[in-house]
Amino acid sequence: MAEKKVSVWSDNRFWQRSATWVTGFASLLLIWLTFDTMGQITMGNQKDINNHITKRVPSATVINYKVEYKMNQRRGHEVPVIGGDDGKGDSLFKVKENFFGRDNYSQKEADALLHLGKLASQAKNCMDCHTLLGNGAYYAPDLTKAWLDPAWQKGGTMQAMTGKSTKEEAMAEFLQNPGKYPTHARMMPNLGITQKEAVGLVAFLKHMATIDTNGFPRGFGKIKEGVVYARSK
Amino acid sequence: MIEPLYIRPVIAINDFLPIFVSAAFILIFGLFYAGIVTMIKMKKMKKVYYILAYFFWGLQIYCTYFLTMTIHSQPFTVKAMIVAMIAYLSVPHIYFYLITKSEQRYEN
Amino acid sequence: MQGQSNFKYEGQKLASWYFTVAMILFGAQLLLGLVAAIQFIYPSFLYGILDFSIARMIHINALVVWMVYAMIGAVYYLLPDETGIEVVGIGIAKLLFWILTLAVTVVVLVFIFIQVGAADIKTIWFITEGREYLEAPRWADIGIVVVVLGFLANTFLTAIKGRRTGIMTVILSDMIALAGLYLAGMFFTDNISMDQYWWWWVIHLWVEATWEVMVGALAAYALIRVVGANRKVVEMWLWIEVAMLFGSGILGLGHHYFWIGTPEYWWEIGALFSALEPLPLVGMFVHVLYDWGKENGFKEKAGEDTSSNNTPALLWLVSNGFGNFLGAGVWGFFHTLPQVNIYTHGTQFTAAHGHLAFFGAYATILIAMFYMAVQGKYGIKKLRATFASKMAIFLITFGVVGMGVALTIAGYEQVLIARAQLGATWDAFFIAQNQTWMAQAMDWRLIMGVVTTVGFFYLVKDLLSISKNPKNVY
Repeated sequence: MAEKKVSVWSDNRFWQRSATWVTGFASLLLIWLTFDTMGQITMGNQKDINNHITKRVPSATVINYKVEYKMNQRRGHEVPVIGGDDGKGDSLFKVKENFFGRDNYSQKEADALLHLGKLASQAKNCMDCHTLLGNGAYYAPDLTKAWLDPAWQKGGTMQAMTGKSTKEEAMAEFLQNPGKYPTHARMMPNLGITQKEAVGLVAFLKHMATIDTNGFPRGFGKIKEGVVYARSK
Repeated sequence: MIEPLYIRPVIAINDFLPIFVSAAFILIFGLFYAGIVTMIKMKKMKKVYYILAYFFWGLQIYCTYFLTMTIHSQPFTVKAMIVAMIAYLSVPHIYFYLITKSEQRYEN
Repeated sequence: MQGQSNFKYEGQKLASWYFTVAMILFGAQLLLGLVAAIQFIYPSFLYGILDFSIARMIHINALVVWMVYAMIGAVYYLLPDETGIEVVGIGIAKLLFWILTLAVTVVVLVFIFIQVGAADIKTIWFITEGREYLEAPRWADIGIVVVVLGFLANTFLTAIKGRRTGIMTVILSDMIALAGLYLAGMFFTDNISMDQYWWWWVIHLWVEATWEVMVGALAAYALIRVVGANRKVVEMWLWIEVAMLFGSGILGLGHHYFWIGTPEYWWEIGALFSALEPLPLVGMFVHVLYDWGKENGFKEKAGEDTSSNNTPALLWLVSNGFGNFLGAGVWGFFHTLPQVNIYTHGTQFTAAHGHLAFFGAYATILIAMFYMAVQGKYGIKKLRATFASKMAIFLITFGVVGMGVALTIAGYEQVLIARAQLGATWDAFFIAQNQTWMAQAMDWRLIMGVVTTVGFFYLVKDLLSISKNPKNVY
């Protein structure tokens, strides 16, 4: 470096070190945040429900409870409400609801159903037509809150079409014979889903609807009948 | 601990198009700004065109302001946008400062 | 590839094998993309034979795999050039190529003929993992990791033995990160939020961090070779780019964590780093433009011929500067802020961004590398663009931009109708799909897909024949 005065700003080594430091710092920050997030998105269990602790990803046993999606005053957007709400949009974990005729699935039974459903969702490639939590393909509807979709409720078009009297049975029936119930020219193909797998998938969908997605999708099902906006004024 | 309060106002239907267009133009004007500065540094344009470059940066600021207002940003997003705009203003200058230094060092 | 080869090194010959398979997979990607695009318009097309889910899965997997092939090929191509020596363990490197290609073939055949399996962990191991982009079954994942470790060993041993350059240092550290991140996608969990948290580590940290750095390094190499830029200056700038790309890209991961069950603080992190993510892209654009202009200025002063020594590669390189900024920058930014993203997440906007960004940021520079390999293979001093080169770049770019615009219109319509007004239900989705704007956007997407495919055939023709036309070779 004796020949002439050189600036550190034009020094390769300086920039190499800077790049390393920046990358290292960003990575460490990401790892730290990851630890925090892991703690917050670990799946809860029945004990949390008994203690009225709201988890971002609740226990699989939520299939025993009534699930809704309501505006929460404190959060400023909709959140899943499990087992009835306290009037402010927080879960009470009280009101039960039958799931295939029962509301007493044990932790073990519920976990097994969810496990089967999650496996089925991957084995059947759901994500390459649908979106789950908004991620996937855009050929078919988002399934994040499918459990709460008005079409599957009593009086809804999908439930009526399958001739079943509960939404879990209607969903399971549709999943096993999608070709029999065309809802659109774009039909779901027959993926060889068995009765057991269908039950698992419905449990998976009900559980997914209870995940706290920070208000996504916004205003889910706010208009029941499709009235398309026309420019006012 | 104080629970953070998040407010997510609904975006009006008529606001969506302006939002997407202004967001796109933030970057497009940014490209014009950086492009003109580059042309001047390459001596393909006269220095007087710096006025034009800063004019584009001004448009960029305006689009950013418009966007952050229309999407009802919280204070944090507003700050993030201010940081981004200052970064846009300075990056071409820092870049050419460094380039000149390194050329002096390695090419003479 | 036929004809006598002028490659000085076996490593570069191996690179040309990787490039050849990459082009074949690129073709497969376009073909399956066309099938999926037709199904959007005529849903009964191949229904029950090759359903949309399968066509789309192969479409996106072929995309990722051809780009990985082309990147590995690019590294093998520049490795001997940068280090000045033959690739260490070239025999093993060639063997790994065949193993990888065989594995890819088996996976594709299973995707096409078996398609789905029972809800059993065996399906995850042997048929499909069913997670968008990471559908390759577990056995193939392990195979990929083994092959990549071998590839890393080859490159490391070569780099240690040969000349050490800044470009090589960046590529090597980037390759370790790239390979290591793949491990984050290799586990099964019942918790879908956890699943998607780590899934994004692979997807985002590949395409918005490590791949972008790879592009920076390849662009640096190309600037030195094609434009004749000064190595010291280019390498210094490369380090600054690495700092900016990783500085904004690693935590930019936050913009995928708005709605998957993860805490609210990701809104702030995602918004801030997303706003900064386009900066390095502007930087890369300015850099290519400036270096090109500067070197031309030198040549003009010296009274030399200012044309580049590889015009097609240069054209693709310049389109990379634009495309990266437009596809990854503009199309990424306008739907990234959480206030807007809650409406756009999971609509055709994402598809528009995906098409433009993968093309603009990656396809362009990798095609430039193909042209550099052709130049190297036939020992051509100056390679000029032919009619086919120009048609290829024009039609492919026009086609992809056309698809991007069509999908943007579709996404906009979806945001307004299915999201903002009808609240994202099953009915809302199909009402939006039935609108004329959506239907016509899908028509245009197919037409532009065909245009892209025609451009692809020009590209194939050009890569195979450009060296044989004496008018274009000096």
